[in-house]
Amino acid sequence: MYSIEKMSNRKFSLYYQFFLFLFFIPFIQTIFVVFPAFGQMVPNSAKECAICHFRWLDQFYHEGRGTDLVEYQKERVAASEMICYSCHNGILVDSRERFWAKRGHRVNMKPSEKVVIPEEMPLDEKGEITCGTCHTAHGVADELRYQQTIYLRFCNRNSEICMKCHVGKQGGIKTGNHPIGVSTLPIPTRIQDNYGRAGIKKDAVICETCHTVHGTTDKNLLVIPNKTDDAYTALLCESCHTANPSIQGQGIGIGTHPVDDQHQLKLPSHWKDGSPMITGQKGEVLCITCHSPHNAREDTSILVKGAQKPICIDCHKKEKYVINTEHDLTLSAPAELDLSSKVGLQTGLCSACHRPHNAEKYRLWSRPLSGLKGDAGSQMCASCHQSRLCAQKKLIGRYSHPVNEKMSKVQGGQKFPSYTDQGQIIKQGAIEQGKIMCATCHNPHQWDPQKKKSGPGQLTEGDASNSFLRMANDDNSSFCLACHESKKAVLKTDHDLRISAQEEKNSLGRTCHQEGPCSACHVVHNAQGGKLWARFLPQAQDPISSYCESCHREKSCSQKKLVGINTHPVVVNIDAVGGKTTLPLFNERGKVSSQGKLVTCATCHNVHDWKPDKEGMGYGKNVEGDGQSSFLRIANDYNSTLCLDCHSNKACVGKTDHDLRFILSNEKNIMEQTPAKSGLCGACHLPHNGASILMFAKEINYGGDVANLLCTSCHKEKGCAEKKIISGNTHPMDKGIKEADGKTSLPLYMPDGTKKEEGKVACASCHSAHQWSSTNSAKGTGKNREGTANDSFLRLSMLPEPVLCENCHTEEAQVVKTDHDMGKMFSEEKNIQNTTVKESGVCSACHLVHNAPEDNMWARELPAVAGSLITRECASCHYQGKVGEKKLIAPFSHPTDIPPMDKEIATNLPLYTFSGAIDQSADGLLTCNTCHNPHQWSPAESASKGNSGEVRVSLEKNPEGDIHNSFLRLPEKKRKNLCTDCHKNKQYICNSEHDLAFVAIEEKNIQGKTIEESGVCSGCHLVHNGPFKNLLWARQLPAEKDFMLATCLSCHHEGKCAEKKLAFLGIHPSSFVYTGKVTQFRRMGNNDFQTYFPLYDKKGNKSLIGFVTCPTCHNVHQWDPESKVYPDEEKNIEGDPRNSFLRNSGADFSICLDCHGFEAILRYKNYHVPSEWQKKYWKPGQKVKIGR
Amino acid sequence: MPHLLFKKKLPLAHFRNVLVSSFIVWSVFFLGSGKQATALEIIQVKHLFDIQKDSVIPPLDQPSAVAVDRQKKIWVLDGVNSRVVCFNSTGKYLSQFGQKGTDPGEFKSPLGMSIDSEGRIYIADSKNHRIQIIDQEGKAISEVYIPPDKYGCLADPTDIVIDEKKQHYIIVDNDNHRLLLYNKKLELIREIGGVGYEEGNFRYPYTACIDGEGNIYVTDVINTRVQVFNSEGDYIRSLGEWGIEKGQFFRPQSICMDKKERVLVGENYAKIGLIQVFDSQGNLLGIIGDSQGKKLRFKVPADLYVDQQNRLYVVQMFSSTISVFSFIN
Repeated sequence: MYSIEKMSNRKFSLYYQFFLFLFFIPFIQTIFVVFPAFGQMVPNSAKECAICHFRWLDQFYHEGRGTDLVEYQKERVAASEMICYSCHNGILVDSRERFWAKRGHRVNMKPSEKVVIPEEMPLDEKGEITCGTCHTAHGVADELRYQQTIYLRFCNRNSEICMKCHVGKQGGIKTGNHPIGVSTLPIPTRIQDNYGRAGIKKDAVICETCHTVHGTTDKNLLVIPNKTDDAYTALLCESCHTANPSIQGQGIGIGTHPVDDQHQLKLPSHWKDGSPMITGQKGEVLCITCHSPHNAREDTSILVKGAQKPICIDCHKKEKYVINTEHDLTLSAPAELDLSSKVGLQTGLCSACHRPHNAEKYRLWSRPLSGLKGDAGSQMCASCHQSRLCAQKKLIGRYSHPVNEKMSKVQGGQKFPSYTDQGQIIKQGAIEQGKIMCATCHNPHQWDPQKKKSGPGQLTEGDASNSFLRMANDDNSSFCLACHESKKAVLKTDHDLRISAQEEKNSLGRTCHQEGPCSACHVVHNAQGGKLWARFLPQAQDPISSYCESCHREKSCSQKKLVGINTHPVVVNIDAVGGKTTLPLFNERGKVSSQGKLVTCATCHNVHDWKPDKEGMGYGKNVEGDGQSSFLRIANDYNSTLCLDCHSNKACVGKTDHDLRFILSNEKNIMEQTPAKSGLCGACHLPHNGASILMFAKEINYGGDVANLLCTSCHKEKGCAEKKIISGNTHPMDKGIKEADGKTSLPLYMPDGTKKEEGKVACASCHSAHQWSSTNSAKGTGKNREGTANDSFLRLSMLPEPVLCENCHTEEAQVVKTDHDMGKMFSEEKNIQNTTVKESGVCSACHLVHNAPEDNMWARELPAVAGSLITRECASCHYQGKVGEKKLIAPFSHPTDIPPMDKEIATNLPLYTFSGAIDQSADGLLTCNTCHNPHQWSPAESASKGNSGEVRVSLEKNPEGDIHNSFLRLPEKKRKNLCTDCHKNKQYICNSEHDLAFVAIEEKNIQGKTIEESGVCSGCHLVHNGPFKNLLWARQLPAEKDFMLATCLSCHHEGKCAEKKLAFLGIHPSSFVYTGKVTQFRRMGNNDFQTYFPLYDKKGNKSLIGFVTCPTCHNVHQWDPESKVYPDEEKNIEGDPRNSFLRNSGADFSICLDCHGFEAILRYKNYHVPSEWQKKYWKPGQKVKIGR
Repeated sequence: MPHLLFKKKLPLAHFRNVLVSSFIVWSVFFLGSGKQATALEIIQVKHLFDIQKDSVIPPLDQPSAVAVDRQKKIWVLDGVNSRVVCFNSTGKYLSQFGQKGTDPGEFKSPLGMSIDSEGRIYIADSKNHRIQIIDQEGKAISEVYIPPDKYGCLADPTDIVIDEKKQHYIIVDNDNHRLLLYNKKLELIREIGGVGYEEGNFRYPYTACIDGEGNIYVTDVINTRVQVFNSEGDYIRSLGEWGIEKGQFFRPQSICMDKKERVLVGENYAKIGLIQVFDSQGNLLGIIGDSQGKKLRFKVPADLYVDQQNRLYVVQMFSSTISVFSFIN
């Protein structure tokens, strides 16, 4: 502090000034009294000093007295701590926390020997440090504000004052100190909040970055104590040096040595030189465990002085065996650079691969990992073991032991370390959850697993006993089998080549005696393919087959055991046989997978285990296998357990007529095995080396579709199933499903026996050889019995409804519960095989699938009538004395067995050959089935329609049909009906005045039927059983000689429905005989128009020499010759010369001119005045229309 | 010493000494005549109790403000510990909330505090440059960030006064030497003052209070005066001046208005540590003293508060004590 006595020796002139001042005081005071505001406007310099220097107030300094407010201040102290506090308590600056609540630099003590106090830093009279040692009330000039100079003796912007005394704390790492002046990391908020600060340069580290002279509770004046509650922490260091400054946010242990983390290493309590090792409360490694910010080993990363070189091995003792091995890069690759571009000799032994900070992401790796693929372990190893890198001589090849797989996949893996994704070792507890990495098998720090010592000191080629392996791999492959325990069973089997092929060498040229039995097929690195295959891999259907065929092929060591052509397929989807098995399935890459569905060799065979139910190893000699051994996963026994594990749906064949064990116990397969020897399936199938497709176990006669030949190998004359032979007219098997309805769920077959949608019907389409009953998935009874429509190995049932037939013949199945369903109509009626529908199914009433006597597989006796087969088939029921006699066709009916094309009629309805086959060609005949579909009662309704299994709605028994059903093929619609499909130009009658539904809906025909009941055509025509042959006229005819005129008069007559249109006065003479010349319409070109005016004889037959009669001029089926549409669908309109069912328009006299020639119009006009209608509507050259 | 120098340099010193001495005496007499000494009245208060430093854990550490709500609970702003501590009307600890930080409900060097009629606590959160409004459970209701001044200097709110009649908030921005008037929507409506010696300007204003008419009294600490503004913020007058005589100020830090509309001003410098009492026109009425008529000196009276019962609360910052008194007359 400054005392007033130190202010001495003033100049004389000052006293003059002082007295002058005193002299003028009254006047100055007067000015202040008169102009009081002036005193306030001008800063009071005395106040500006005394505001801190309290003692300098006039009352104390000059007058030597106190006041009412304060006592006289005797002590001549320029200012006191409380003066500071009077502003620094928040009035100017809030320094309460920093200065008055916490600890500061020690004062009132003699400096220690560690510091050097320069002369310009005065101690007090006792030689102790005091505030004034650093501070002076009138500090050095500085461009910084007082807040930063704080009345210091010197500029301290870079902690210069600190370093004046603490001389040994600078120099950076060269002198073993934390570097200062560096600004590579931002000074974090946590430091700043605790009064740490940077130097002049932004983020520059200075003493006061970590230490603060005032405002800390730490005895070392650290801004954040590194020891609280007697436990060290890394908080201060980590404030700047976050867990990993280079890879921020990735957590401790990735890229930097773990700190603050409990570990399993047993750390020494002291360094080698005896100095204590600082750790956390629970032994955690802290920053200050290895580093000392001051007094560290020179020219290191401020590492503690007492540690060994390298410091790592003080804790990591086991790793020191790496010295003098090939992994000691100072030996094997002395010129190799690490991430910091230094060689191992510069950075130390460990640093060749590891660096504690700014390392690559795994295990503090100090070698570049960028661009390397694979898991953590692979990346680390590949940072040397890769082409063009220092360990390129030791590459592992494309196919190597898998890594990055969970240890839980192997048995016995807990003997070896597993790792996390970051390459952290899992030593205890959850080893199974860890992953296999290179270091699972290799200990990169120890060359020989049996010798805990440094390496040989020279580069040597390794073998299975060293090579950094964690365990020696002996001639029993002990190291491999330590994890792969389940594979031990292969020892001493035929697959142990020490037994079966001693001299056989693997791809590396090694025999089993050299490398152990596993090496015959597998090598850990540089394998030929998947599964670490150690043998040449031939092309095969799938990877597994390729492995097997590397031995089981011609000219290889297992050429005696080949599988042949007709062998069990591989790479087939298990879904094809139901999708369930306990056997392993594979994916396309040959790996067992829960998603895999493919069957391969290894599905049935376990190559490591000779006999499925035998524990232990093989017999030690080469033996011939059978269904109980042969490396099968499940014994294939009398009941074919192995086969049925996949083909469980075939198990129903047991005890059926196809189970030869019961039926033909002496029948032998091509292996000369009886069913008892071969087992259930073996009687017909061999898994390898079969005689035909489906690995057939019996010889077949080639010729024909293979699919059927399998059946006929037994079902043939003198065959073991000769009682069941197919002959005669039977269901065709040379046609695809398109011949039926185009869809089926039943299997179809190609000639080579393969199953395809575009295939043909074969025996197996309808029959399943493995299941006797279609409705009961059960085995047979063991008794040979005659089949029925519901068993007989049929795939689907035939009773009560014909589900099997319906599967292809969907439309035909609609016959069920119609009048053509014999079960409904005549349940006792029997077919030609003397069975009822109840016994053999509804279809069997008319059709036999096998061995029918007639074409069309017709099941009924055909009557002796003339006509096509269709006609006769219908007559087999619709005939006198037969079940359908009530529905006979009388002579005046629509003709049948005629080709419509003869009358240039084209139709969509089916036409037939004389023998009953469908024939849409020009020769196709119209038959009953052209108009009738005998399997479908109603074309429009689906009352009787249903798919397999549906309950059909039964129709009324024997209902009287009408135009809407009656087994007709087409429904009755306006303009579109069965008749118009052939008689197309007649359709325009609909909605015209000749459509009785339009003008006389109650009018009935001669059969008493209305139009609604029998259709629009039936108003005038009857298809069957009419009274008139000509036109099949359906109306009562008046007594008139002219038949055609009579047909018109049947309506246009008094008392008849068209009596309003009587036109028999002035009628064109009907008896006029034309000369036979056909008159052409002028509007040619439209095919729908008739091109002539027909003449008729009196019987109503068209004749070139005949009478003009009504239809000569009128086309009764079309109202307007120019339009096919009647102009008003709601009302009967009055006709005129342009329509009125005329064949040609009369509006411009065309119809007259057609016959009478052009001069007729001249004549007419000469004698006739224009009618009212003409005046109103008609003008020459102009088309005139009435109505809409 | 000057007279020693006279001996050496001036042989005719005696005459001149007489002359000079008479000049000094005359001048002193003349100068002193303006401040005629009168008896200093002691305004007596009765000490009721103290809220001691150790009455809460951790102990109070240089508290800066006190306020009493309608339930007579005493709220103490313990800024070094970044918290608000609540005591009952007899000084028994009840609760506390707050911690250091910048989030709502956290503080950095808070200095001033007020409580409105609904019990909401307004904290002048100085180094967070904001006013926080907090409920009595410590849950932040809202905050008002005080904008920097026109030069970009961050605000340093050291006190807030609530004028419930006018529905104004008066905020003292210490570092920027200004008063800020906010309306009830917490919108800034007027900025008063700036750095300077002139009327209406400030040098480090620290705390404020209002009288019954809404006039604002502000301690202008380094200008060593109390400035008075009307409720609209217009300058009216000043109280006190620089000095250590009665009615003068050396470090006028704290201020409050008692029920008689007397203005109490606390001197924070420990050597003085007095509370002077003025009428609203600036006439000194007396100094707070005990029942024996002895002046009471406080260890940095950083805040004063008079509650509804006319009890005087003195925050002694340096001793971390809140002393409670009642006026005797």
